[in-house]
Amino acid sequence: MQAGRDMETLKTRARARTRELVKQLARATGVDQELRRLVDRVDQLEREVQETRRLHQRLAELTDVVAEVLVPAADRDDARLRATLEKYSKTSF
Amino acid sequence: MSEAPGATVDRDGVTVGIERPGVIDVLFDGQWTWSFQSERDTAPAWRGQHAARRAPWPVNLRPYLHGTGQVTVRERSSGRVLFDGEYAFDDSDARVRIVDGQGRPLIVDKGGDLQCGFAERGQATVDALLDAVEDVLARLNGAGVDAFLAFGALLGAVRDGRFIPHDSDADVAYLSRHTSPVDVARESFALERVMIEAGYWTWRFSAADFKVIVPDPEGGRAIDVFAGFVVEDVFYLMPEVASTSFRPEIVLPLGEVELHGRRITAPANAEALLEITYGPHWRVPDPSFKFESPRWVRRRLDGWLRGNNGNRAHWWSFYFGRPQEAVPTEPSPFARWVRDREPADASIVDIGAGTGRDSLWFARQGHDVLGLDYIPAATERAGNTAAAQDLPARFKTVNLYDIRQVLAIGGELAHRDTPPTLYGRFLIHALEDEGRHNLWRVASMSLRRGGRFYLEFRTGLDAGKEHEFGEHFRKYLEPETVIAEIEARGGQVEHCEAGHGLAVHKNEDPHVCRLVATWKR
Repeated sequence: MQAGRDMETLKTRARARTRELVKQLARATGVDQELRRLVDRVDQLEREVQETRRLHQRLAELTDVVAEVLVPAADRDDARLRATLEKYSKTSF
Repeated sequence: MSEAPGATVDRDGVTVGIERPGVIDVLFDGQWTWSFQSERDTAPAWRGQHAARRAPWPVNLRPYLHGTGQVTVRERSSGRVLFDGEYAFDDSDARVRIVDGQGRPLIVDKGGDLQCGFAERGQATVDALLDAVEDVLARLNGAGVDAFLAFGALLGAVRDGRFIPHDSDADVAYLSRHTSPVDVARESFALERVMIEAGYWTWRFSAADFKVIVPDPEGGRAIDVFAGFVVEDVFYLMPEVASTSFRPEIVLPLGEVELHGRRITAPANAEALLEITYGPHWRVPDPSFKFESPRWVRRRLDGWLRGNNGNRAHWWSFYFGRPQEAVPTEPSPFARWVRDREPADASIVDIGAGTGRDSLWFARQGHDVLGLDYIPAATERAGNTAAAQDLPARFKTVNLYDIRQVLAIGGELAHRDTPPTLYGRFLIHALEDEGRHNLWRVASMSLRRGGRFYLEFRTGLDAGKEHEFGEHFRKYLEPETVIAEIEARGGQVEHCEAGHGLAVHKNEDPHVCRLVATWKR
């Protein structure tokens, strides 16, 4: 029982020491800095991808307004345009 | 560490042991109310010296937990009772009753909302919903998409030929032929117009799914209309499902299933779609089921189609549940301040009207009022009050994050014969940047021929203070920041004051700014 516990303690210490050595090596070679830079870059890229994805919805919204309101507006008839706008608001959302 | 049997109930939630993870049912007065998964929906806790897991009471259930209640906690799989007894949630003499206005038991649905399940509803309601499901499916198919019964309604139909007892609405979906999210969204907009023109009331959840409200003898049920579409060989079914093994033959040609004795349009292979939707164990009932979409699915659907949901979860619960009852019914001091500055015949547009406390008051003073809010429960309730009291106020659901709605409402207001008075109390700090920028767009369109925009908002000096309505998203902006934004968009500020004592509510005296802007060209 005691021997088992001693072995566990030794293993835990060895693992901690190994982790520390890996960190020192990473620091010495600049790998840790490179890793941090890459993590930041992935974060930035994810945000950029999401910003681009959002354009789908904005484009859909704008083209909906153009097709439903601005195209009829080409008739230059204010009463009709007012009616079109009112109908768009009433039936689109 | 050894394990204590049973469960503990307290004001914070239900705590269960960790020995046998699974679905836990919670009942009040013997009536099933809520289920949770003892691993997924909980956080580590202690019961005495024993490691355990605690599931917090659902936010929307909390307002009902006053007084003493008869609570039962049991394992779903074995039926083993873990707790059964009276629990006093506070000192009041009341009995805990989780029921709606008509005394029918409410349940916590998978979205965390309180609903009255089909088990408690009359046949007339089920018939009205089935009629509407058939009508909605026919109209969608008539509009050129392949629409079918989906999600819980399909699951209930295939498993038992009936709606699932704890479910509360019906879902339909369609397989879009479009393969770009922008076109899927445009198609969904067009389909919503079909429904509105058919006389339905709708509400949009994302650019690819919306709700159709069906009036019924008990106040109305919802049919959700979800887009299904394929992008780059991946099938997405709004709101949460994705599959890389989907084949169009799973849906087409459309077939039928039986639901309460009626033949309803369904996917060709309903079982295969249910497996894609709910996983391989879809035949086993699980009221605690929640969609757990992978990150890549969530990010895609959020990015493509769900950009207009700014803080909606908070306000949805607030106005659909009981928290809104805490909002005073008398007008705000700001409303009185504005009324003193505007002509008696000013037409007022209250943006972010909430319960309508100020809109209704303006209407009572004789003003023509349009109240706008993005939560339908808010606009509906205020609209009903205005109608019942014959007030010159109407209310409309408008989402300031949706460009379509912003341009439409701005265009409509710009075409009025007389410019409106815009009013936004406690609106600015409730908006994310995009919503606020769209608000300036509405103002610049509406006020180009005159009229003023009255704003009251919390300033940076209010950040970090305690708030009567608790902590949730608030964007604290300094007056000079707001002024700079208004001026950058062509507006002029004609009045600005900031301080305490302007918007006192109970024990809270926030630091607020009152601002009046114009956009006349």
